[in-house]
Amino acid sequence: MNLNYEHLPVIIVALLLLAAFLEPIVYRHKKSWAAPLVIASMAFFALSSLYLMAAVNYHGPFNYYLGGWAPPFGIELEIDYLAVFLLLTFSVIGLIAIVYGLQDLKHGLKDEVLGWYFTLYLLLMASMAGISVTNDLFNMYVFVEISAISACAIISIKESRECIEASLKYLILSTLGSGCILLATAMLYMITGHLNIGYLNDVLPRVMSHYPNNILISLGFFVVGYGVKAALFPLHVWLPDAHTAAPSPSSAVLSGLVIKVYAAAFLKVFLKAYPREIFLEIPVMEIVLFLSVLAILYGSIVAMVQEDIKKMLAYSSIAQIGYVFLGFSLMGQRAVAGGLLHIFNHAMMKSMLFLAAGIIIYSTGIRRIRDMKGLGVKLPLTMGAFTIGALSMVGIPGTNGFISKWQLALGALDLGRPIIVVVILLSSLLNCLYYMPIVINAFFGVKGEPELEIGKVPGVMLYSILFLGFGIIFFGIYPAPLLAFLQKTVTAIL
Amino acid sequence: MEVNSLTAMAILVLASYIFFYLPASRLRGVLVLIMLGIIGYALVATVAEMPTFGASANPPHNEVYQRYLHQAVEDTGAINAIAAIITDYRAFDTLGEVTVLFTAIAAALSNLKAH
Amino acid sequence: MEDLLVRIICRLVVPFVQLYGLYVITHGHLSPGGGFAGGAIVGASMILFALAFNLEAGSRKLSHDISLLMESGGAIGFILAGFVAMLLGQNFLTNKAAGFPLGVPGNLFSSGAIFFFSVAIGFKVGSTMCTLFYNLIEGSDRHRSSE
Repeated sequence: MNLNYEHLPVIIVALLLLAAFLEPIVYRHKKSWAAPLVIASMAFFALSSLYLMAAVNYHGPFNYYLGGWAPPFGIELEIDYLAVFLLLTFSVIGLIAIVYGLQDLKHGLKDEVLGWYFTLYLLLMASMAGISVTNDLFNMYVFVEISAISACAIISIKESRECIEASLKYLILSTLGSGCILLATAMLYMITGHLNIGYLNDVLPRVMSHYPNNILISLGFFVVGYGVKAALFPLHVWLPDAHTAAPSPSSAVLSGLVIKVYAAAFLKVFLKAYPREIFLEIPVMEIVLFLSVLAILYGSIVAMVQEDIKKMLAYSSIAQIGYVFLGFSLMGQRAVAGGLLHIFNHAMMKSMLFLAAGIIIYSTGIRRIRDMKGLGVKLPLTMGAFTIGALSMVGIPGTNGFISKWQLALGALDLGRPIIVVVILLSSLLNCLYYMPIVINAFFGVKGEPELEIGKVPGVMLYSILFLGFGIIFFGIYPAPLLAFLQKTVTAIL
Repeated sequence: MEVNSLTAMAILVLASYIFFYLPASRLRGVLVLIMLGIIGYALVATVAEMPTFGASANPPHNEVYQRYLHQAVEDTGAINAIAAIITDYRAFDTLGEVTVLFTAIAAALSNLKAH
Repeated sequence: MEDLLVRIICRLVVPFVQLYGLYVITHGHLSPGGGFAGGAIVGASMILFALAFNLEAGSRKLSHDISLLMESGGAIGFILAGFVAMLLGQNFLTNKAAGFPLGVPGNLFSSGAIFFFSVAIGFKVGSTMCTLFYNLIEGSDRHRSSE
C-alpha cells in the first residue's frame, strides 16, 4: 500500500462527497451524529489543505491522473500553488461558518431540513474543492453545476417567501451562466480536440488563425458565464436579494466563498487555458477591467442607500468582487497577486461581517441600520468585531483589507495605469461613508426610545467571529509569508 | 470580426442602459431587437466558421479519439466504447454527474420539506 | 383514477419494464445504454405503477427509507469502488491497472469496475426518479389537504 500525500486532493473531494451522501441516512437514524459528521469532514478538509499547502510549498506542485490515465486521455488534477491557496481559503472559512451555523440554523430552520442543509453544505464544499484542483474544463463544468444547484438550495431552504423568490432568480441566471460555460467549453473542444487546460494552452495558438470567431465567441461566453456566477457588474442582479434572504451562515459562505470560486475559475480559464497572445488581438481583459471598475463604483454607491444591513453587505460584495476581477484583468504580476490576496482577505472580512450581522439579528431581531443606535454597549464584542471588519473593508492600515488594496494599487502603477489607483481610493472613501456611520452610531449613538431586548449570544457564534477578527488583524500586520506564497503562485501562472 | 475595445465598451454601456434603466416602450423593444440581432449575427458568423460536421480532418480527430476507438477494449475490457469513456477514462466526470443528480434531489426534497 | 384496464395492463407490463431496465443496466459495457438509461427505465416503471394504482400502493412497494438508502447507496458504492483502487496502490477510480479482473471482452461479467459502476449508477438514477416523483406528489397532496 502506497498512500502518500499526492492522493490527498482527491481524497478531500471524495470524502466530502461521501459525507454528503451519508448525511441524510445518518440524520434519519441517528440525529445526534449528523452535526459531528459535518464538523469532522470540514475539519479534515481544513487540516489536509494545510498539510497540502505545506507539502506543495516544500516539494513543489504536482499532478494527479484520475484512473491512472495520463492527459489527454483522462482527467488530470493539477495541485499547484493556486489550488492549495484556494483550498485553504475555502476550508478554513467553510469550517468557521458551519461551526457558527450549528447554533444559528437551529434557530432559523425547521428541524427536518437541517440534515439536508448539512448535505447541501458538504456538496457545495466538495464542488468548490473540485473546481480548485481540477485541470480539465469539462470536469470544472461538472463541479460548477453541482455548486450552482447546492448554492441555490441553501438559500431557499429557509422558510420564507423572499427566499424562494431570490433563489429562483439566482437559479435561472445561474443556469444561464452554466449553459454559457458549457457552450464555450464545447466550442474550445471543437476547435482544439482537447479539454485539458495545459493542452488547450498548447494547441490554441496554432488554431487561432483558423477559427478567430469561435475563439472570440467562446471568450464572450466564458465572460458571461463566470460573470453571472461571480456577480460581475452588469450581471449582478441576482446577488443582493439572494445574499440578503439566505440564512446568515449561507450568506457568509455565498458572499465569502462561492462568488470567489467562480472568479478563481475565471482566472484558471483565462490565464491558464487561453494563450496570452489572444488578449493582444481581442481586448476582452480590457472589457473585464472596465466592468470591474464600474462594479467597484456602482456597488459602493448603491450600498450607501441601503437600509437593511445584510443588503448593504451584499451590495458591498459586488464592489469587492470588482477588486478581484480588477486584479485579474490587469494581468500583471503584482495585480494578479493582489486579486488573489483579495479573495482570501475578502472571504475573511465579508464572512465575518455577515456572521456578525447574523448575531445581531439572532439576538435582537434588528435588521435595519437605523435601529442599531447604542448597540455597541449591549453587544460590545460583536460590534467590536464588526468594527474591525468595517475598518478592513475601508482599508485602514493594520488590517488585511489595506494590504490587498495596496497590492492592487501597486500592480496598477506597475502597468502604468494611475487611473485605477484613483478608482481604488475613491471606492475606499465611499466604503468609509457607509461602514463608518454604523460603527459610530453603534458606539456613540443616542439610544432609541424602546429599550432593546437582547437575547443571549451563544459562545460558539461569538468565538467564531472573534477568530476571524483576529485573522484580519494578524494578516494585516504580518502579511509577509502570504505575499511570498502568492509571489510564487503568480510566477507559476503568468 | 474586428473587435475594438472602445466600441465594445460603448455597446456594453448602451446595452446596460437599455436593459436596466429604459422604461418599457416601443423604443426599448426596437433597441432590444437590434441588440439581439447583433448577437445573432455574431453567433451565425461563428457557426459558419465551424469545422464541417464529421469531416475527418477536424481537430477532435486526434490521438485521443484514436486511442478511445482502437484501444478501449484492451484498456478497459468494455466492448461499448461509450461505456469505456464515461465510466473508465473519464469516470470522475461521471461521479460528478451522479453527484449532480443527488444534489438536485437533495435541493428538491429540502425545499418540499421546508415550505 | 379507478380504471380496471389500466391497472391490469400496468400489472402485466411493469415486471417486463423492470426486467428490461435491469438488462440495460447490467449490459452497459456491452451494448448501448448503461446505468443512466437503465436506471431511468426502472424508475419509470415505479412511476407507472404509482400512476396506475395510487401513491400508498407505490410506497408499500418502495418505502421512503429504502429509497433513501438506495439513493445514497449507489453514489457511496461508486466512491468506495474508487477507494478500493486506491487501497490497491493505484490512483482513484483506476480500473485495469488496479487489478480488477477484466474477463473476456463481450462476456456479461467482464470489464472489471465498469460493470460495478454501471450498477451503482443504475441504482442511483432509478431511485432518484421515483423518490423525486413520490415526494412531489406527496407534497402536492399535503398542500391540497392543508388548504
